[in-house]
Amino acid sequence: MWRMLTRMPGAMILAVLLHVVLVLAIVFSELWQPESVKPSGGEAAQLPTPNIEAESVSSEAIERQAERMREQRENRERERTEAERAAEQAAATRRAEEARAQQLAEVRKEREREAAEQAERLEQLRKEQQEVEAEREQAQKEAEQARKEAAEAAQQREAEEKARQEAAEKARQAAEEKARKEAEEKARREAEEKARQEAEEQARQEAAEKARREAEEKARQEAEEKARQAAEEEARKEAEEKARREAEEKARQEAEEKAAREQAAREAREQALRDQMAAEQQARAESDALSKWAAAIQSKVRDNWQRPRGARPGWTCTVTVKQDADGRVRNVTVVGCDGDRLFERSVVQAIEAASPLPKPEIDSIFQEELRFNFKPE
Amino acid sequence: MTVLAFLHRSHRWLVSTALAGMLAFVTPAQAALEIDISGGTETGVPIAVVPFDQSGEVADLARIIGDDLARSGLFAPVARDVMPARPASPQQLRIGDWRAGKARYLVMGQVEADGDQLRTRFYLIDVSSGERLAGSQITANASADRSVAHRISDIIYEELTGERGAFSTRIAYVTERGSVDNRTYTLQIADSDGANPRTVLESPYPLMSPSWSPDGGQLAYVSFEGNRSAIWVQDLSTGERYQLTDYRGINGAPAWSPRGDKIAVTLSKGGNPDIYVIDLDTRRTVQWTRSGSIETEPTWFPDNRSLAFTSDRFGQPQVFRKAGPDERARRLTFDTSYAAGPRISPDGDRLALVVRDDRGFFVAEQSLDDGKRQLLSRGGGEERPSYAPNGAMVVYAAQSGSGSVLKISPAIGGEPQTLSYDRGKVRDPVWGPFND
Repeated sequence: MWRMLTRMPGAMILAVLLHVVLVLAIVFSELWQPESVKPSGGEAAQLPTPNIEAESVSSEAIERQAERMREQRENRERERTEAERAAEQAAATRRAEEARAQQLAEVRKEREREAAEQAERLEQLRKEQQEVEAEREQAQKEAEQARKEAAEAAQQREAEEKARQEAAEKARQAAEEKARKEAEEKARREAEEKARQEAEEQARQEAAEKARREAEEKARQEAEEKARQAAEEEARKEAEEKARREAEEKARQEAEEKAAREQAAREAREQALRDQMAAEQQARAESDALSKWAAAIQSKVRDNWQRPRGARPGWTCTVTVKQDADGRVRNVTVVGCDGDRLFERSVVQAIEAASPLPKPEIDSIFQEELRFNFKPE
Repeated sequence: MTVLAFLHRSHRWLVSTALAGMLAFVTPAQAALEIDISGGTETGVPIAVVPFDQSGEVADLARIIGDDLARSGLFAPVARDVMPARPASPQQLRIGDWRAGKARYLVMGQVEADGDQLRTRFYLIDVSSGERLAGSQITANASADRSVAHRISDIIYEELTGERGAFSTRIAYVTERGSVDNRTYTLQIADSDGANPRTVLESPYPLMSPSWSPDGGQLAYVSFEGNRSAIWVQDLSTGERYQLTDYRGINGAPAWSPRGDKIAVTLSKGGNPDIYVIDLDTRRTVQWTRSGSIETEPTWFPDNRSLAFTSDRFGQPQVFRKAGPDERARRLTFDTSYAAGPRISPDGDRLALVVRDDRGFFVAEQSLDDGKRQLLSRGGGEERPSYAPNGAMVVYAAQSGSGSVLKISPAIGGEPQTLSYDRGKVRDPVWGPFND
């Protein structure tokens, strides 16, 4: 209703104005009544129930009064029709509103409590409206009653006057009430609007809050998920790292052990090689020294060999020589000699003349006994 | 000169490495270190013949001995001025003094005169070892002093070489002296060093080709006395002689057989000079060659059956061998356009001869084993050689200026020695046998 009013303020204002005019017309029509009619001593407050007094009424007045009543009826009818139309519009609007409100049901649910209160307040307003409607209907009934009474009995004028006054009073009161209600309605509408805006704002905020919370939740979950995954990843990596480290450590240890073994083996080999090389070196040194020694002996003996003329190419002479440690020749023994005696003698003499024989560079290779093969060519 | 030292692989060097810190001890090989010596210096063996302790008119024995040894080509006597000392006996010898010198052997000795006798002691010392190799005392007539020296030379030679020395032998040869109008030919016999020559025969007719009987008591030779050649045999001790051949034509080149029972000669009684062998007992003459060419200069092999001779049956003189009168002649010399004057060595292994090349005539020796030949003379105007009885030397005549001299070359090669001799021409030397 409130919404309807807010939607069609013009109609409402017109309706109100019509009511006001109607009331004023009624009042003024009463005023225009002769004072005489006014009971003496009678008080308006005393009446809800009109005291019908038998009085004589002129037909003319009745006609006028009837005319006025007819006009009033028509006005009421017109008002009613307009009200109904307005109600229909309001209903249509309401349906649309409800449909729209339906769309906001989700939001509305969120603020059910406020909505309930609002509904309560609206119910209250509707009751009041109904009461207004009831009163208006009562007024209509009374007016009908008055008209009937007027039609039936002029004596009831006073009562009617009284009723009229009361009705006017009532209308005035109703108008006041209505104004008050309109004010209230306005306040209510504003309150409602404010509440709606607040609700919307709240809903928006809540939605935002929800969205934010959801986003936060999502972010949190994502973060948690991420953290979980990160943790898992971390754990996995850690495990892998650990495994890797262990493997590395193991490999390192194995490598170290292997290296140590190899080192040991290598050292053993190298030692063996060194020994062998030392032995070979020794042997080589001795062999070299032996070669040198033999060459030195050979050279000296050859230089001292005065080979006789006539030695034939095929002649050979083999002798063994014993020497002492200083190389001095102690004994020369002819093992075999193909040549003549002079040749043989030359061989023996060559060795004797070469005495003392050269000594070896290395004492260890010294040999006491030597063997010589002499050949002319 | 190749020098090789063989380190025999059988040598084991036992190196004890277990004894760380100890000196590695090398056990010498069981087998001796073996060293080969080849090359060396081919030389006459240096020998110091120390002048003997002698006095008076006695010849310088040491000089004679040294010359003898030098002629053999095997020895190189050390000059006296480099000798460190003059020991004459082992008591005087300090062998250490000699070891620094070249001499490998030392000969020393002393001669004591005892009336007309000479008592000579000598010693042969091996300088290297200090060992006394030979030593003896020889007593001889004072006039035989040179013979004593040659005898010592023979002993030394035989001691050192193992071969008999031939220094106490003689050489026969022919001399030619005087002008064309008054020419005198002599047959001479001298010591092996040319000393003590004595005339066996003197003749106004040419004398040629002496030949010693194996016992050294006779000489066969060619004489042209009566202006025809004939072969004569002369006893050296008595001087008696007889004519062996008197054939028409050439009677030449007598060669006494080793056993002394035959003489091979060249006779041209058949028209051409051919080889004949005359049995001295039966005087039977056997013709050995019939080639129609010149066959001459026969010489015996030691087997007393084979002859070598010169033949120009192939156009040029070459040496052939024939094992009997009916045997086929086998050529011994090749690779030369002139090979003549053969003499067979006492051992039968070598052939001494004269070969000609573009420089002249040379004495050479050829191995009958492998045919290798080497020149023994140097001059280019040499004549037929003759072996010493030990085969170690050859003697031959060599042109010298307008005349000629006798030279001796070692058979092994080496510097020829010229025998001192007086002027004139000397030819056809032939070495006599050993004196026993």
